[in-house]
Amino acid sequence: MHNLLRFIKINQFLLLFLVIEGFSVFLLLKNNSYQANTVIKFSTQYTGFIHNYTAIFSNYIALKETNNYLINENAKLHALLKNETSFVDSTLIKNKTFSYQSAKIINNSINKRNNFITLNKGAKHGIKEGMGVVTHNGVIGIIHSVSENYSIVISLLHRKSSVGIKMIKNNHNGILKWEGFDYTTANITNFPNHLLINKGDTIITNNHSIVFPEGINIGSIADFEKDEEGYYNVKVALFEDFNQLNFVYVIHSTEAEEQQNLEMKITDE
Amino acid sequence: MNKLYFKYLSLLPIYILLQVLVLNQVLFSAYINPFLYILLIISLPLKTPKWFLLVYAFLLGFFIDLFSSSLGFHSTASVLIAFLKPLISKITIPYNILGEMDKISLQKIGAKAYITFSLLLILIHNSCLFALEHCTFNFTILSKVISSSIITLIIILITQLFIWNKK
Repeated sequence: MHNLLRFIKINQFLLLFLVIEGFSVFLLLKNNSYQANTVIKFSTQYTGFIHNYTAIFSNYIALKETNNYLINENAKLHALLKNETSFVDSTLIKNKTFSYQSAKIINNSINKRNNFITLNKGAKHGIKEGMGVVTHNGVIGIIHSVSENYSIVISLLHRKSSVGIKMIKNNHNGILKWEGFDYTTANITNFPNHLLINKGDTIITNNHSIVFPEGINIGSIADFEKDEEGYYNVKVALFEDFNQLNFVYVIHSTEAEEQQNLEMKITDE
Repeated sequence: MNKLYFKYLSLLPIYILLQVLVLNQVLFSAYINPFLYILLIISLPLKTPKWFLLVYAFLLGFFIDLFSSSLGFHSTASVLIAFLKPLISKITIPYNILGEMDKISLQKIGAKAYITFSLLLILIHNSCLFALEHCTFNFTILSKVISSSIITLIIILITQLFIWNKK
């Protein structure tokens, strides 16, 4: 203790400098997203490298679950193929085309207020900021920043993430947000309370988004209550278990840019 | 010592307003921005308590940052030069030429020592600031640092002459 005090006394100038300079840099990174992004981009290169190695281990241990997951997905795709209708109706033609690319999760968190996921693919594989990330039973998030070999995803479990959704039953649109704490549920707060909703109704993505295709499963209604302002407060049980994510698809709409440019014209005026 | 604190703290708002209201609007050849406020850190006496030096530099930078609505840049750079100032003054200022509480000025330590001393601090300050702003360091930024430092030095020298003549 005595030695510690002496050490502090001898080095007080240096220590005070470190404290004040640290505080300045904290302010800088906190308030300037460009600088913060550069730091994250730089550090992802190295942390991603380490996570990649640990992922090789966990990959091997999780082989059994991965197999099951793939079998389920295969089954689902087969079912889809059978259901494909043979006639083409102009109202049924999907207006956007999406390309899919698989990626592996090498780092993930679910216990924070703002969660991020690291993927093992980056700019080299054609991944860009703003692309969507999904699995066959849920929306995972949106690409936040990309380095050469890795990319970081803003998880659905993040304060700022919001996904356009609709109910299968009556096509009513809403917005899904995550309110923290529980990684198995998310919330919808803008369903007006004249709608008839039931527990168990399925929620899927709507077609407004340029990031996600229409009709990705998200979850089912677990609980709902009316609030005083004329809306439901709906709890959605997510189909995807964020704690056991392993493989995801990064999706890219080939026409997203075109739609975005067209819609920009409105906001310009 | 209290007199010193009072004097420098009362100079703070004057220099901050001068910097943000006048000098930040004057951009020589579109991108050179002189930073006169460094003069306050340069002129602090050699025997200023070190904690005051750091805290003062932080406050100065912090307020400049507040006015340019981007926190952290100027405070980081000015705390850095405040930290390096004792070291640089040992190298550049001749021994025994200054009284303990004299402020460091052109007429006290002579033009040659003053210019090397302040130019070193200005160069460190500007390199730190621009490197943080652009997050890289290359030839364009180096040329920006050098041109901005020279203009800053000239303005600081002019201010010094101005104060000297008045006395």
